[in-house]
Amino acid sequence: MKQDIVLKVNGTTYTVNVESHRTLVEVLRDTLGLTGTKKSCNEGECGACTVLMDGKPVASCLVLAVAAQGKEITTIEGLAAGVKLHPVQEAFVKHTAIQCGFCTPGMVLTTKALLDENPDPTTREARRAISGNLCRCTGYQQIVDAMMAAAATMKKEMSS
Amino acid sequence: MKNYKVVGKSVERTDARVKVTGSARYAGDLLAPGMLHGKLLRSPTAHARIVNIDTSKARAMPGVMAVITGKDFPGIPFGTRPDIRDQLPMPITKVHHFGEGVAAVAAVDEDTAEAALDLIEVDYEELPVVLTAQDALAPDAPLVNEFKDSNIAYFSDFVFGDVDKGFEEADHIREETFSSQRVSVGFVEPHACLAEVDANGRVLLQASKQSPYITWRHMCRAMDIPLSGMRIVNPFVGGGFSGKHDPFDVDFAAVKLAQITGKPVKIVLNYDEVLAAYRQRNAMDARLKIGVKNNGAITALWAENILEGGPISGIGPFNIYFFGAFLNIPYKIPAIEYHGKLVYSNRAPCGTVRGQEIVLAQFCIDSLLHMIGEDIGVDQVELRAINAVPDDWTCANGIKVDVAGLSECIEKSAQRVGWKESRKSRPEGRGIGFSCASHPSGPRLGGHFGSAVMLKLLENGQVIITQGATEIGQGSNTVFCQMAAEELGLPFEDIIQGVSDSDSTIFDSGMFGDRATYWDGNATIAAARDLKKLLAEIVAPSLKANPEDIEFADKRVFVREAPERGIDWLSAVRKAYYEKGAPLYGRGTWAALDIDIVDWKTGRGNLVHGLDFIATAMEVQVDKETGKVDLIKAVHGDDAGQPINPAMLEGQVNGGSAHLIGHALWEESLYDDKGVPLNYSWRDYKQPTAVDVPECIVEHVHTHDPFGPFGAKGAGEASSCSTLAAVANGISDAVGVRIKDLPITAEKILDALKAKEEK
Repeated sequence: MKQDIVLKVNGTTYTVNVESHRTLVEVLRDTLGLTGTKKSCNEGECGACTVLMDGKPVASCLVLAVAAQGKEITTIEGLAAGVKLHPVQEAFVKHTAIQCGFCTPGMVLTTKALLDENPDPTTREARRAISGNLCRCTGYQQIVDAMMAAAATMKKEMSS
Repeated sequence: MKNYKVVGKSVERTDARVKVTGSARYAGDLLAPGMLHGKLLRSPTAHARIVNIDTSKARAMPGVMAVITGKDFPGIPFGTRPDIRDQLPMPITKVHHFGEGVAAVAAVDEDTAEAALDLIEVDYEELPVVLTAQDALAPDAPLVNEFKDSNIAYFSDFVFGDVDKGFEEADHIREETFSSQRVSVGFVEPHACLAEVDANGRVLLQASKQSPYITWRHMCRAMDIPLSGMRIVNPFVGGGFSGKHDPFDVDFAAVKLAQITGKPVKIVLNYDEVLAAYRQRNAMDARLKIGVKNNGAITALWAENILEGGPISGIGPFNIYFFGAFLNIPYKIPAIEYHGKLVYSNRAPCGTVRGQEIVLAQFCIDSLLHMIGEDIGVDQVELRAINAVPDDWTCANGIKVDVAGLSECIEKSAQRVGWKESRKSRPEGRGIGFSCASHPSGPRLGGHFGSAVMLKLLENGQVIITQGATEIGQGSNTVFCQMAAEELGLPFEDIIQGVSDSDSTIFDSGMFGDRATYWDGNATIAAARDLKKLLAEIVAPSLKANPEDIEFADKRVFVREAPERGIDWLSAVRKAYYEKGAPLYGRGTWAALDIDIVDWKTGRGNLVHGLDFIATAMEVQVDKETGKVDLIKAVHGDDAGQPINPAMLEGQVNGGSAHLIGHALWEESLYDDKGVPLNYSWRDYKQPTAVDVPECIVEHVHTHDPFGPFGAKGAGEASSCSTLAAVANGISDAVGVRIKDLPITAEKILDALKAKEEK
């Protein structure tokens, strides 16, 4: 049965009419047209659908849209300020951490959540943070490099 | 070495910002007005006769617009080569593997399509299943493929040099068997497509395709559509690794459903469908015998290999040849005998995976080399250095090596990983494994095999590049923009990447075998030269010079011997547009006409140019209590000729190695004895995560390939080829046990350690 729900995504409030069994990834992609959030395994294993819910990374294929009401949802589309990329995005670009790009939105958001909580991670902590995000292209090395570089940039920005 | 302005620099990928902001559109993101959603009903069994399919209830369901089965297609088989046309768009008489699409529904939404699948009734008559190579070759084996009267899909047999003499001259001989498991390809984006048909009947397919022109040819043939009747536009592709070359049941179904309904039809798979029913790597059963002199120099090699490849040939005939061909290199082997068979089975269809079957060949030969090296007490690094192919080397099978940086690759990786120091002392359970490999820069296959690039000069002086090669994440678009900029004397930012569209881009043979950088790269240079020639002819009179004396550099057009006599690039472009009314297009094609179309059955011919090389050193730690393997560090000495974009090249090397670490240690597509897959979800099928892979270091070994664009060779797949044996040899070096059947699980290591202790 369909019902009206209110979602706050990337700072914008949307009222959408969806069935109660719809997952957040379905509503983001199919109803709101935010296709930057990717869908692949639909069982929370690959991390491609990662979004931030109140700042924490979640697999949006495992979250019912109705359960996301009252939360601040951030998708990849909400990270850059206009053409100015978020430091994490900038680091991914600069460190060639992107190949096919399908895992990239999830990787970037997971990194943002890590650095918001732990501004000075070790490479081990960085690797652990993204261990729920599968990438087949890169071997992760340049993603980890980008994560560490983003941490350094964000720390510098904080202190200045 | 020439001082390049754009080539050799790690410029930002052309698609980096699009991808990092989530605005890159992949096939599953596409929408079209009035679009329907398609779903496939899949076979619950691995081998069965289709007695009847009743779709009437599904058709009657509200919201369902069409239902199709294999009978809706003309029954024309297709395949990689004319002699192996052994597959249909969807099955008609029988199903060949679990998960094969037997019917498809188009409905107003996904839920309706899904629900309609439950209303389709299929009567199957179970047939005995063929699961392994042994099953397939048994005298009374049931036949798997209805177009073939044997389960041997293809073979390759060859002898080069005097093998008997080689073994007679050997001081030591060792013979071993090796096996490798079924693994999935593992790209993260599932198969997806959107098909539309216009009022003239012309098809537009936008799909997640690695080699859209392979898909286009096969689909047109099997659907009896003229080649002009179909257009393919490629959206962004979420990884390929050879798992997205050819058309699948989803692509055929989407087009057929769009033809029937007159509406766009989109089908997006869920990943469990991909793991259960789409491309995997062949399972391998191989036996190798090697002869060496006391110093480790190889005198002869004998090998036999059976690849089990599922119910269709696919690219398998090439795989079975490739395995044997690449036993000839990267080591100097004067005599070699090879017998390979590709057999049909009732498991998921195989194509190939990153590194193709060189991956498996190299696992065998470098494992065997390590073993015989231990037998004769020759240092593993020296053993490889002694046997490494040099420049200007012709392999026993005719493969010609122009430039080989392998010796330097070996030296650099050994030094960086600390090999010599490790021989003096190392922690308990610690070891280092080596493997080398060579990979071609795109073979010449039969049929159309060229590459083509077009440059469109805009009146603001920028240039749009389109090419047949497909960007699937490897970064080829960026590489071509770099090459075009270099050749035209323009900044990188002035080259704009155009769309991959079969109506406007020129066809390409496909995105495989590390060929794009090399083939399309050369075509890019040719296109840039063509554009310069056209512009020079327009500009030369005003500079009082001959067109052939005009040079292009630093955004200027000038006389070679008198650089002060010139105009800036934009003025030259405007001259073309405004004085001559001539919008200019540079066209370039390239094909290696001086290499052979190899006979896959006899292995004869010089396959390729641009052999790239790698030497991988893998440092491992094995826990003797649990058998758990930790990979500490991977060092790759890599010769890709002149690196075009070093950072992207490193990404290729790192990625290829990490991919194959999963294959080495734990990935396996498991089946029960009825051919039903057991682990077709990522919960149960484990691909390497960021915590599973080692720190990766790439040591570039710069060489200059005489035929490659700017001296570059193909790049990317060599590290896939060297990783399996490097891991296996590292484990052997660490704890003294040799596992020859992949994957090397902790359980196998523990069993081997126990067996060793009991001796």
